[in-house]
Amino acid sequence: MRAFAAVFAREVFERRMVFAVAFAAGFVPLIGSLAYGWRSPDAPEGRILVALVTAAAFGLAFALLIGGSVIAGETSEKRMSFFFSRPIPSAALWAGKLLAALFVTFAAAALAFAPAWLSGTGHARSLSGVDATLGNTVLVALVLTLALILGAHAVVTVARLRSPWVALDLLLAPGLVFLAALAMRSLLRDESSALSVAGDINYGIEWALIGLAGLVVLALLAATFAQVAEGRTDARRAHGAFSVVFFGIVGAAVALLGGYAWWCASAQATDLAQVAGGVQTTPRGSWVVASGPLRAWRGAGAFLFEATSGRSIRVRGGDVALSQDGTRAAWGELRFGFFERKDTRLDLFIAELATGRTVATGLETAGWAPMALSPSGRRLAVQDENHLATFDLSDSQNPKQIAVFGPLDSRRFAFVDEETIRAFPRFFNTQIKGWDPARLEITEFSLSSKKSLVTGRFEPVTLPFLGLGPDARFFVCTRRLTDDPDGKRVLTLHDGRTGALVATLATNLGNVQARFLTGNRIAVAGIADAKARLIVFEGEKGWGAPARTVDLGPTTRVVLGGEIAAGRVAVSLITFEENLPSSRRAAKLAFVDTATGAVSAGPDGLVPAATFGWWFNPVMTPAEAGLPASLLFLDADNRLVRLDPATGAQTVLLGRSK
Amino acid sequence: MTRGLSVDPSDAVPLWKQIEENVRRLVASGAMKPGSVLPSVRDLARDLSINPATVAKGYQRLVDAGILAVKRGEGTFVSEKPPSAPRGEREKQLQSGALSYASLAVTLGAPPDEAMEQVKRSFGFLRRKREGGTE
Amino acid sequence: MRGVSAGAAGPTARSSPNAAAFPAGPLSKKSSALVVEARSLVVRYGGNPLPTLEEISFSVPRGSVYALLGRNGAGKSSLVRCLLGQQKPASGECVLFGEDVWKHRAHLMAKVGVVPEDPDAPPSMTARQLSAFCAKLYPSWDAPSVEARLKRFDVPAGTPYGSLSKGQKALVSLALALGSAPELLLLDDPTLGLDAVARRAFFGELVGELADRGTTVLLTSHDLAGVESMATHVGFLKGGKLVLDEDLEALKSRFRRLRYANEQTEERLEYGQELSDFDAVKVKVRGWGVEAIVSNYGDDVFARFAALDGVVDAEASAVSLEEIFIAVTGDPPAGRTA
Repeated sequence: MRAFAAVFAREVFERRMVFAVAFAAGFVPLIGSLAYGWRSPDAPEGRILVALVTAAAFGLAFALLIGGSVIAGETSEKRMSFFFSRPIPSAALWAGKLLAALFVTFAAAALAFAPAWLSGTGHARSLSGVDATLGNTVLVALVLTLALILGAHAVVTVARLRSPWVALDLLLAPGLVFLAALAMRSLLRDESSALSVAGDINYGIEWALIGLAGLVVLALLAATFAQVAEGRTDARRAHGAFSVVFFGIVGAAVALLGGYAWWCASAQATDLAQVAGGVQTTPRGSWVVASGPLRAWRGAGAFLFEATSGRSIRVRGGDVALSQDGTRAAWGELRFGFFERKDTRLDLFIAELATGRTVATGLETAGWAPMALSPSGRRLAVQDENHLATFDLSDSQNPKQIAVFGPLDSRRFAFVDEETIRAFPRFFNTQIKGWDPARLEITEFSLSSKKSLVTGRFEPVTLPFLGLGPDARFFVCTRRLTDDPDGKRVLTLHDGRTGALVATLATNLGNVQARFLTGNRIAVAGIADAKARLIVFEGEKGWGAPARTVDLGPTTRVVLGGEIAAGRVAVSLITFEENLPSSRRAAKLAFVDTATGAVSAGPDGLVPAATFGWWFNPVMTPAEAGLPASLLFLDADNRLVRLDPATGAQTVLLGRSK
Repeated sequence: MTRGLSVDPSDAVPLWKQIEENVRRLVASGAMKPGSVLPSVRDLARDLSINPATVAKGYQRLVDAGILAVKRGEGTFVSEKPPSAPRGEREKQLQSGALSYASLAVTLGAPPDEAMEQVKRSFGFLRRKREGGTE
Repeated sequence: MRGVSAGAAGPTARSSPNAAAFPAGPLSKKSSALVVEARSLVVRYGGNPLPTLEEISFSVPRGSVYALLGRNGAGKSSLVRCLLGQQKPASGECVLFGEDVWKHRAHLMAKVGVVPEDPDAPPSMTARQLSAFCAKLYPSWDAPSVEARLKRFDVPAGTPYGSLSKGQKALVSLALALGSAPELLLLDDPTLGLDAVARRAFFGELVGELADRGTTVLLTSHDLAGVESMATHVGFLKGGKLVLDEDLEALKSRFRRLRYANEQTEERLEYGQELSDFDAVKVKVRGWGVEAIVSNYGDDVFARFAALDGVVDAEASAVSLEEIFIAVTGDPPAGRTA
């Protein structure tokens, strides 16, 4: 401690002229202020701002000057031997010199700032921004000063000690910066893709950056200590010790960061902690889209997942279009610059689900592009800006453009067959005055004739629509009863081509859902009088009246699932306990035979995974009953479970128990 | 005083021995009278620009031989009494010195008569010095 | 080396009997503890296959004055830095007062006074400020003695160190080195570039210190004449190797210059036969005969030699340390400094 005090005092005393210069400089703003009128209302603020600039300039200049000379400079000038040949512990030498450099630099800046500050009014002080956060400002300024001093020291060490270690420095410094940048980029990209899966994602990347910067300062401190303690007057060894410790620490940190980024980026579907919000299914095949919290710190991810094989494909985008035969999936990924997402363009990817291969098509579109795949998956329709572009994907790596239709406003699409695309109105607010009635039109685009034809239109009151029937033959719409406090909706069935009303399916159900079933049937579920109800319509008997109504008992919420076998529909009744999080739900699964109305109980706690979303979802059209996707359920831990309806056996596919 | 005590560092004879022999010669020739004070180890070492330990060793041997005496706090003096080495010791030292001189004579190829003549002349020289009272 | 002392040396420095009368001086100290030890010291610089120091081993007993001699580039600075714990050897160790100096540098330095080859004190500080700084570091700093020495040296105590002449800087360094009453003085070529006055003042102060305190001294020097009258031990450093490490008295007693006439001098192949009993490190044929420097002189061997047939007018004379240095290392005298 005595040695430290002696070294500290000597270093400060040696630089005493700095104080005199800074003290004198502190009066420059006051003199300037005298010349321009001391009593002018802006004067105190002007003085403080000028002093702030002066102080920052002093801090910067002295940090660089002193930082460069305090250890490395003296080593290269062979003057450190004076201290090393005296009974001064290396730690005292290191701490004494660095702290003195910090003290002198900081005190110089403070001296240059003090007179203007003291002469200022409270108002002027608060304007400078220093007032309210004085403590934080001082702390940040201290850390910055230390970083500058150490940085200057490092540069002088590399430049002046002239040892072969320079080669290592010149190789490692940019190398580590590059690796760290790659890791950060990977994390940012993960975060960006997670944002399209879940809204409130925060990877804490800014904290990772601040942490990394802080670590660099700490590494510089440790490296400087090693330089003093292990290098002493041997410039070569001093530089070596500095480099080894600095790059050891920073390298380990970058390696950790890189490992973490790689770990995050290499996640598979099986790494999903839980499956959130259900899965998206194909009418055929066994692939689903599952998303949820991922193993990164507060991370999230979406995957194409094959329920039967466990294979998965990471999807770094939002909406995935699946072909009805389940052979292809298409999605757009936000193009990523080195550090930030470029919201303007999407790169289109195709997954060949049979092989599990992802293909970059080389196509790009505007940042938000609704798209659809033809039933066979060989054709793609995607809206780019105000045009609908169609491509032949027979060779998915070399897509061929078929036709471009438009201009048209924002739409949703579905392939009626391989040759015909039908465009439906998307979100539309009829409350806006002067809206264009053309925006409610239903349009068909023919790929063979390359012509478009308006085939029908929506009633303004039918919006928003909800789901599309088989081959876009029908669609169902809901309309909220404006004066109903329970949020009950009217559910209507429309002709897919003309938009004409075919039938009203329900008028008094809350939590209403609908599902097209095989055999030209529609199942509607909802809640009336706090009781779940399942209504079955059969097209053969006409849509006008329900064929059967099944009461399922009291519940808070109902979830309508798919056909687990021909004519058998899965329904979950969910009751929430009061004031408890949704995770504490109690779900009762029931199987309803739509032909007879017979109800049989399934395993408790399961909810159908492939649910009927409150959004246009063309792939809900089932091709057959008992598809693998129809047998997927979420359990109480939001794990994806496959249920064998014959035995009741459950297999956990994705997610972890809490 | 120290002029007669000058030494030659490049000589083959060790410095402490040069000092010892020089003091012996100065005492034998009467240049240093009994009771006269010698320069301190420190002063002599400084004057000669030699290691004080060397001086101390030379002095120590002279004290051991009874030629010099140390008075605490006062310094080093030439002994008042003639050296009173035991007869055996004296004979041994004379023998050693004579052997050394005889070897010199032989290696220089000088016949014994010539060598003996030189010994006699040296005794005469020292006697004259002592009686003359000056160096 | 060519064998240890073979000459008829007198009693060696460390065996002085009855030493009580003259306590001053290292030779009177009975302690045989080693103040400095270098153990198989190897220093290597990266990329250079040849080590700068190769297996250096030597020791400095308490109270001795060890002179380390070698021309520039012999590894002297590396050795000094190792001995001061400022450089870590590739292998081997430096031990001061029984402790590894690399590991225990800070507290060992409290017992060591250093006069560096190149002035290293902060140039902006005056001698008085330097003394005040040191006073905080050493438990027993003798500031008045430093002042007194500076006065004796006629060095201004209030002038910044950087503005002093080379000689004045060395004297300030010496005054600071002695200020802590060190047990070991390490003088790294202290008289390099000093004028005669400063040099005399320097050695005078050193003699005083030796007389008063019997300080152990390790010094490197190019000034062989100055060293010859001060050192008790010498080591010769050449090309990173310690080619000689010996008691100075023993060294000088075994080296002699022989001069003799030889009937066969004109036929060069013949000379040297008669020298076969000697280790002749250097032989030259001159117009008048043969001159040889031998490293294993002894009176009896010489007597036999002088009596040989064909050896005429043989005489043996002393060889100075400088000549021994040149004969042993083969370094020309001009290369001593540079």
